[in-house]
Amino acid sequence: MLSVGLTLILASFLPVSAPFDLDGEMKRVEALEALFEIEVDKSNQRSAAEQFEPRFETLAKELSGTESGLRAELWILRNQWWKRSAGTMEQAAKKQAQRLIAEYPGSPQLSSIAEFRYLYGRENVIPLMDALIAASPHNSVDAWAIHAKIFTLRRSRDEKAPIQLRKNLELLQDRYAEVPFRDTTFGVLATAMLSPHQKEDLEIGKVAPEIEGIDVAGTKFRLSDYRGKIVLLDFWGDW
Amino acid sequence: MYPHERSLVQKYNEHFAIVGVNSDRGRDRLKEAMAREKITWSSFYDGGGTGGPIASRWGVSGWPTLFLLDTKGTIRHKGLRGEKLENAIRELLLEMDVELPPDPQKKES
Repeated sequence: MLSVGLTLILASFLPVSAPFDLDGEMKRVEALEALFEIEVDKSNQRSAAEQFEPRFETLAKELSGTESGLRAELWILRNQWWKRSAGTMEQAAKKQAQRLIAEYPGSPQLSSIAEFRYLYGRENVIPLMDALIAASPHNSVDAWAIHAKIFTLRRSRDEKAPIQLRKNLELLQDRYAEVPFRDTTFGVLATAMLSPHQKEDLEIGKVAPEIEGIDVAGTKFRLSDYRGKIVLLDFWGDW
Repeated sequence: MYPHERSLVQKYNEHFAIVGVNSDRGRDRLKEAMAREKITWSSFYDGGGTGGPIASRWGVSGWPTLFLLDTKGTIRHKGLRGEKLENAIRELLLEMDVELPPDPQKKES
């Protein structure tokens, strides 16, 4: 009884929407994710994913309706990727995403459904993202969904796609400019995508367009700071 | 890639620099890579992933993508690596009329 009372007192300091045992539940999902990562190092991503899927399904069922249950579901969704060669990925991922939108419409975690846009098959992305935008009250979820639509429209051969693309980029810029996109914002990204360098401006003989940005420590600098030196401009990633 | 880039920076230090645009997922990954590979040159941090604002604007969707610029910032070569890259740097140094370090293709004494 004492512990219940204590929990209630402690709980009164928490936001009202947070269930008391959220922390413990979430730790169970995190622990299983960590175990999976260890297994990936030992074998490979695909066989580890196959092995762990039933365990995440059990956990998702048990924690159904909570944020931790959704996190377990999103692990399953992300790992549909390994069913690609079997040809079942797109349908399975689409169905699961539709179900999650219906079951967890208020969760900010649903932005992951938009991040996993490559799972659903090109023709399914836009209707799925429209459903996500309609269901979610969160700006961050909407912005990620618009971002997923933009990527689909960029690859579309539909004659109306360029107009739709511009509209969606302007929407990001006008209404979601302050929403974080990784370590930058959707506003910064949309502005860059609305003014891409033309191919002919990046040809040999042209002065390289200016780049202004920050280094890893957050210090601002420009490409033109290096005038007077020969420069190897290197778009890279450590992968 | 990293050892060759490091040697270029060391050898041609006075008149040559590498400027990176990095698309790693998160500052920690970039910091870790820079420490591990002893990367001394600066990189623009492109927001923490591929499809960042700089890469999007430049239409870069493959990594690495390389541009060699002369002292005025003019694009002189694209996509050069290894020996070809070093030869191109040496040609640009000749244009600057500066003293060249020893040619890597001749045996150094």
